[in-house]
This record gives sequence, C-alpha cells and structure tokens, in this order.
Amino acid sequence: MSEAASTESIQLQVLDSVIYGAAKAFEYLGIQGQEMLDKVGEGILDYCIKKGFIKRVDDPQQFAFGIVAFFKNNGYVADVEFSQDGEVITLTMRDWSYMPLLSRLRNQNCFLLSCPLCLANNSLRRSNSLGWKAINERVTADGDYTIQFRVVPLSAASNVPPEPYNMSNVKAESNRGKRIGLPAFEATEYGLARAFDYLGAQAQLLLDNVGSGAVEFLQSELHVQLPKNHRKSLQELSSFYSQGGLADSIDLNLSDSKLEAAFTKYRYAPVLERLLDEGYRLTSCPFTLAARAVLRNAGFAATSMQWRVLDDRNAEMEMELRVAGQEFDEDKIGRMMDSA
Amino acid sequence: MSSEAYTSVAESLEDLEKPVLLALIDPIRYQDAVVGLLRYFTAKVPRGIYVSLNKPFAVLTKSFDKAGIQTGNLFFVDGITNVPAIEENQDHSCLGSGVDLSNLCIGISKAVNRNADEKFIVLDSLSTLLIYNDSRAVAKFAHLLTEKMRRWNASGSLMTVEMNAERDVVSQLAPFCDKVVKI
Repeated sequence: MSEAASTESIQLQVLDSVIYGAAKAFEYLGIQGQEMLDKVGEGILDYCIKKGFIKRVDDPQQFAFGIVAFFKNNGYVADVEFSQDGEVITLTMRDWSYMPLLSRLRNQNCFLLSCPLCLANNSLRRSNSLGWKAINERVTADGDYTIQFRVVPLSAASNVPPEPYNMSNVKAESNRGKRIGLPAFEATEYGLARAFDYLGAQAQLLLDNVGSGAVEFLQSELHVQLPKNHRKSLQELSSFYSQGGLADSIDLNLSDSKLEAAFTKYRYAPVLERLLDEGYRLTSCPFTLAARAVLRNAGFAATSMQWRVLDDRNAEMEMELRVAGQEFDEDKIGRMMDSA
Repeated sequence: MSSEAYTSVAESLEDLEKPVLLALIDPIRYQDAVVGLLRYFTAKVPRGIYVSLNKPFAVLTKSFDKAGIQTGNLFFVDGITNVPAIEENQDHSCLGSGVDLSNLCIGISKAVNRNADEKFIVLDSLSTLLIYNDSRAVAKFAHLLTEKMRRWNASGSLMTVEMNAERDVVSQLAPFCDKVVKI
C-alpha cells in the first residue's frame, strides 16, 4: 500500500472549523445537501491519487481500504473494523476524530455527514453508481461508533442517515490539542475548493456559507472571542489559525478598500499552488473563509481575491473590498440604460 | 437530464407568449438547468443575450456547443473574465469581473441595442450578484431589468441558484415575473 504516513501535522481544530462549516452550509438543502458534500470527496480522492497518497485500484473494496489506511496513517481514526454480510456492511470506528463534530451536529438536528473519510468513500461508491442506506447506528460509552448500512443502487433515496441516534448523552472527547497529518488536511481542503467549481463564480456563496459556519464553530465550540470590531476580529482569527499551525504567522494589513495577508510557512500553500496551476478560481483556506465572514458581517463585500505563492511555502493574498450596501438608483440607471 | 429541465420549463411556460421568468435552480442540477433553459429560449426566439457572471464566455460557448445549442445567434455579456478595459467584439462584450450593477445594466442595454431583432435575455445569475451586493440592491437591479425587458419586448429568464442567501430577492422579485419555476 502506498498510503502516506504523515510526518508533518496540523491541529485538527483548523480542519474541524471548515468541515463543521461545510455540514452547516448545506443544511438548508435537507438530505440533498449530502449530495453536495459528497462532491468534496471527489476532490479528496483526486488529490490523494495525484499526490500518490492513495493508489487507484480496480477493486472498489481494496480502494476503500486504501482510503481508510490513508486517514488512519494521518491520525484521523485509530481503527476501522469492517464486516460484510451480503449487501449489509457493518463499520466500527475507534477514536474517530469526527465523533465530537458528529455529536455536536446531530444535537443541532443537522444530519449531514462531512467527515472527510466518509466523503471520500461516498464519492467512490457514487462513481460505481452505488449509495448506502443506513440500518442502524450506535455509540459506546467510550465513543466507538458503529453503523450498519446496506449498499444500494444510487438514487435520491440513497445516502440517507439512520433514524437519528440520540447523541445528547454521548460524551465525545473534544479535539482540542489533537493533530492530523498534513496530507489529510491538504486533501480535504483541495476537495472543498474544487467541489463546487462547476457552479462558476457563484460557488463563492457556498464557500462563504462554510466560512460563516467556521466562525460559528470557533465561537461556540472553541470559545474564540471575536469582538464586534472587525479589525480586532481578524487579528483574533489570525492568532487562532497561526496557533493551530495553518501558518507560522499571518500578518494582516487592512484598509477600507483592501485586506492584505502575508502567510509565512503556510501549510495550505501546496493546495493553493495546485488549485492555481489547474486554473481553479475558488480557494478554501480556513482563515480566508472565516475572514470573509467577519468582513461580510461588518458590511464589506470582497470583490476579488488575488493570490501569490512565493518560495518556501510563503504566500500573499490581496482581497479588494467595497461597502456591500451601496445604493442602486433605479431611476438614474434606468435613464442611463435608455441612452446607452 | 437537460431534457427534464427543458420539459419542466416548457410545461410551465406553455401559455405565455413572451415570458419573463424567475428560475430557481437546484445547485445539484445547475448545468442541466442552464442547458434546458437555453434550449427552450433558442427554440422560440431567434436571437439571445446570455449575461454570464459565473463562467467566461469562452468556456460557456464550448459547453453550449457540446450540448448541441447553436451559439451563433447568442451574444454574451461577460462579467467574469478579467480584462483591463471593457472589450467589445462581434459575439461578446467583456465588462470585467466583479462588475458593479450600474455598469452591468449599461452593458446589457448596449447588447440589446446592437440590433432591432427580437431577442431573449438570460441572466446567469442573481446569486453571483449577492456575493458583492446586498439583497436590496440586487432586487432593485432585477426589478429594473425585468421592467426593461418588457419595454424591449424581450422574453427571458433571471436565474438564481438556491444557495440559502437569496430568499429575500426571490420574494421581492416574484411579483414582477410572469412565472417562478423551480428547476
């Protein structure tokens, strides 16, 4: 197996902020939101294969084992126990890093699954025109999660979560201080940026929803204090994400028309470089998504974002801003249209 | 799938001669919906204007050609390709990315006034405008555009992809359109 054992890592909370945001971002679509989230899985697999983290093999089950091994090696799950009886599959996840998020999301009645390991597997099944239908699930006192599901032909009725298990009594350990291998972080971030490219520029709205969810996660789960003053809030975000290992430092320069950020030893740089090389316009840097949400709440709209990847994993970002509530004078513009 | 979107549009609009439509598009079916809408309008009206705020016209023409849509009679107003200054060509004009609402209105008017032929207008999409503008301004823009479309005797569609951000716009705009169709 060629699944990369990671040498470099990043705090899990950095990734958690965006995958929590992703689950919240598609909640409005109901269960159909899972189909959108599963698109992230396509990008995860693509990145892993292109970077040689996972080998593509023809046998779907072996491929799925490869995906599991990749996430295990990157510290996302300690072990996955698998058994199959005909079409019924039973999976038990031990020390699964998604457990605290699953519990939190379920307790908010959000049933979408944004675990990167699951999204990658969902995507693999979809590519074989298969989905899954949950039969039941349970969580033990030590947080081991077991799900039993049936593999079914792909349809709108597949990829449906089980009858919601009551998670209010589940004491999932927080991910505070836990780390995840950089390859798994990179693959998930790449998947997120690429997933909605087919929608064109408007996909930024979806990523902005992810950013709002990330800010909600930081405030409610991690108790990061984001003051009303957006300048101070951006500094808080910069401290949080630097401490989490997204970059050694994130230096900001903010005016009313521009936000400039300089990232030193930026762990998102390999993803950014690949996205730019492949011609993708959207990016998924957790700091930037959260910063856009803070700026939007302060009444600014980002009209464009330019990135420069420098050497040695340093990068710069320039975001042009304008006040979002600019007036639109219908009469005046109507007259201009008549004489155009 | 595109025939499903086409059928849904055609059935919804069968009694209307020059419909101005508000199309609410499921994000999962976006590409099929765009093709379905264009197929409907190109079959009814000889010329059309496609206002793209999402994808460069060069990308769109290729994908429309691939879907079997005649692009020869389409004029593209491109509000996404980065250009140093406004560019005008035979089949498209580029307004630059993140174009403001006033310049977008003027760009559309110029495209309409290129010739006197009957035409349709498709705006792709109001959702993109919500990235840079507040929903009140986008609603006013859309209101003005629908009013002008009627004055120009043009049919067409304003598209909005359901992104959880456009609810205000939809409720404000619905009364000014002949039909709201979910695709």
